Amino acid sequence: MTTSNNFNRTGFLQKHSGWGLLLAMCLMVCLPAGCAKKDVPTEDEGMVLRRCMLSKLRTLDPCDMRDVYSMSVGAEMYESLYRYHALKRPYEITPLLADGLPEISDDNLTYTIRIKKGVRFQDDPCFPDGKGRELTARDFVYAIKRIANVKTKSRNWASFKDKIIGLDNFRDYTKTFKGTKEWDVDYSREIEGFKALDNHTLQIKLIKPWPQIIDAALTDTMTSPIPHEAIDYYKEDIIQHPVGTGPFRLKAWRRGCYVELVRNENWRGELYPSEGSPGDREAGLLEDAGKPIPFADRVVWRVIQETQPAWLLFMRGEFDSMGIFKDNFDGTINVQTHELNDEMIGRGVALKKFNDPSVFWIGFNMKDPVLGKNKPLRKAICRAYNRERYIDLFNNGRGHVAHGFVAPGLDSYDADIHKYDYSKYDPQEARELLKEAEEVHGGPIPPLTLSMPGTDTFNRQSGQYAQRLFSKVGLELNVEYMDWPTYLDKMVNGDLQLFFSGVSAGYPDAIDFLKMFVTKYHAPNGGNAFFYSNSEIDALHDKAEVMLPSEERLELYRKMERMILDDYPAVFISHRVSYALAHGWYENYKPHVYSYGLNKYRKVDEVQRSGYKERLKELKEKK
Amino acid sequence: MTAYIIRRLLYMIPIVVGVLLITFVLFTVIGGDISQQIAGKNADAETVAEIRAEYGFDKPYFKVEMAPVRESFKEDGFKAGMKSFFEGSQFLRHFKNAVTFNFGRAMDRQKISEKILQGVGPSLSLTVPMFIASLIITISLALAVAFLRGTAWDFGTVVLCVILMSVPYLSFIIFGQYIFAYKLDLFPIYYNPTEPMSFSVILPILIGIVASLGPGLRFYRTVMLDEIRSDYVRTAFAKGLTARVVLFKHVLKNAMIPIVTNVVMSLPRLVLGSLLLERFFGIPGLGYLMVESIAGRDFFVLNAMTFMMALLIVIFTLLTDICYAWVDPRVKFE
Repeated sequence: MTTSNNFNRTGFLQKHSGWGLLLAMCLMVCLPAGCAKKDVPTEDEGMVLRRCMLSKLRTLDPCDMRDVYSMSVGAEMYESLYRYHALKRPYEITPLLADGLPEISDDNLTYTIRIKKGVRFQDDPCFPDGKGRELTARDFVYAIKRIANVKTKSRNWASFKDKIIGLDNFRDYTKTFKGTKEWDVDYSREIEGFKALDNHTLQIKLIKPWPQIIDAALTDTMTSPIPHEAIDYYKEDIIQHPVGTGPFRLKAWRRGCYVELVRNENWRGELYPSEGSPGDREAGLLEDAGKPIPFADRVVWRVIQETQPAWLLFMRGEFDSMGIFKDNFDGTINVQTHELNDEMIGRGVALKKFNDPSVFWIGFNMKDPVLGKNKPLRKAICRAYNRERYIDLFNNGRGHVAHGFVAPGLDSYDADIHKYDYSKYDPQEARELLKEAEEVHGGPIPPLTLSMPGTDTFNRQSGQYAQRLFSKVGLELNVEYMDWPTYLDKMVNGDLQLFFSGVSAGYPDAIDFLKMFVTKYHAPNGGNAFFYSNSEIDALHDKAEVMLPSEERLELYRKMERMILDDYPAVFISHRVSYALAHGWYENYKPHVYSYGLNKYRKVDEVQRSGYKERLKELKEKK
Repeated sequence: MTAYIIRRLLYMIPIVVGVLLITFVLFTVIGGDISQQIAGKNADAETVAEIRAEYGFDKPYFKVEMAPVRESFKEDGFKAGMKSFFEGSQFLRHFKNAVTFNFGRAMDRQKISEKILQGVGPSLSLTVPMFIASLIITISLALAVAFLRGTAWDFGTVVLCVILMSVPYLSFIIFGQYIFAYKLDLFPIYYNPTEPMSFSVILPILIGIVASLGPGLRFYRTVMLDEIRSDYVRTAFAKGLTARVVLFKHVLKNAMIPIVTNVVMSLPRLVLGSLLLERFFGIPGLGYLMVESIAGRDFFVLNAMTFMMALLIVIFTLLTDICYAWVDPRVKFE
């Protein structure tokens, strides 16, 4: 390409620049106008529950649901055999698709479960005439086989490994199966331990007693029945075409953006509970007792992954309820009383506080040559960490110090665990322990490395906080910040030295917390990312995991917890206390830490909601 | 000119292969095997192996084992043989996906091509009006301040530009959203699919225009100043032409080469959307998809988008060169 000195312009632009400008203006106006069409057309609204989703919805295939949002949305459409009562505390199991509690054999190995009659799947084109057919016991068998089928790549297989007679054999068959698609597998193969005795009776035979089977598996959406017609019809796209028996069905899902459910016309119906816990009646939670549910016609989730717009929309009244983000805490809560400030009370917002059965820690990799064989060092780090200050600084005080790892709210939580001083903050003792640690190590302790599961401000500040505490007692700490997948990959492969992590209980039994320290559950095939090994704990775990709930089991759990804590495998930092906000129009809202699928009980006072904007104007004028 | 275009199109082949090689090294060799991540924290070895096979992580990077390929040709025919060949190594698979625009499924199992197609419209509805408006405003202002060079107006504009350039982009978004959408209730805070998108893109467009004024105005002012100092401008004024005619008919036309370069090279970025604006206003475009994929380490989507972006840049570079000749007859192709 060259430039000549010819100044004789042909004048195309001269002639057409006006047109160009006009075209540009048209484009400018027309492009947004072109999007004047609604992405999701809306009809008559009815009663709508409005929700915020802070992360995108991953899947609506029950067999692969493991994350909070997939289960939150999924459980509105898919139902399991059992569920936790919405109001009763302590949490109580009640039947959902099951017709009563299971009949359990004397040896606790065989469960016979009757299934409600007359339950129908939602209408869907996957059925021959588009009409949902009746649910049978075989649909449950199909659902469990899908989890076992290696071709579905379900995230939930770990819950069933070595538990049900014949299920592992079925999985072995799918491993050797030559095809690549899950629907090509022969689902007619019988599994001895999971059978439909007739259309409405299911039989489960266990390899060894599994006292948590109902809590861990049969209340979980992953075991919800799914019709084989849906898989045959939608194949891989089943993730976005749920076909369930629940009170709602999917109307629209714009990925990463919007989810809308509407009532399932085929739902059998249910009544609002007439019983609850002490205080529920006074709180107005039983005012709708005996009324048919669901109250809402639609449930809508908007996916908003940035906290500012999510918070502004809640304040504008576009969401019914919301958690409190760290940066909005001081503007919402009176820091002295830890109750709502006057502005939020003026808006008619209510605050609900509840214990989240969770624990957060800085874990020690016991395979690490510096940490693994040096208990005084691990103990010194535990003494050097100021947990109370951490909770104040990073959780706005929303948490309890973790004196152990079993969370408050679980029946085996030991209220006296603080007496054992595992969580004591004592920098002086830490320094003394360090001297002992240096003797064990055979010289000065080399710099340690803590890995944080994110690169955001929160993780950076948490890392710097740990660095400061470590340096106070004479330990050098490097902090690595990595994205979650890299962190996860390294953690499960034992490539991290110290790591920041946490877990929440999925059901009210501490066995999952204890499992984190059992040798056979070493990562990546289990949750023991500490790579902690103690033959005595392994033996006690084998005993505990088949025991039915009893005082003896509680004592055993507590004993195991203390034995593990004696080895200092981690700095257990905090148990989270959740704060949830709800607008005054949002009714029948009682936080539930284990169950999803509760929107059928919830309702809104539309008059109050529509008056909120006026209320905001009044508040503004008052100011 | 035709010969030039054909030659440039042929040059594109090694460039595209180079891009494919770079994206392969970036996302597959350096990015590594992400099967464990897809499988989840508690997945067992078999599930991870299944995922590894599905995404081809179990194959060598480059070398193809030819024996099974030959067998496939013999037993299952040409089509199956070719399929087996392209599935034989990770690079060939990557190559085949790219040239057929079939990028497979993302980590959330949605088809990548579907994701990208869905994102193009929302991105364009945000970026095109924003781009055109800021272009018209910055060029007009640049002409004006170039004409008024050395005056208080010019000085004030330069100071304003520096201030606008110094404010982080995110601040414009956060304050714009808080004040104009939340406090004054003039615009929606966030895109709601039950309402037309045109309502939701107005505020991000305005924010984008304001945020781009500083750098745009500085750039075009410099371009205009270079032209306005030329002899022909003095001659035009001496001939008695009005300022409007001199600026818009003479100066603007002669300044078209840098303007065209800037405009045409910006076009691929329009398709890609605006990362922060889309994220904060919930516009489900390609910028949003990009941020989400980076956060989720979805290399499959990132890979597809990087390739598409590179392809667009190559095409638009060619278009830029063609446009040079269109706007300035001094430019000739050899």
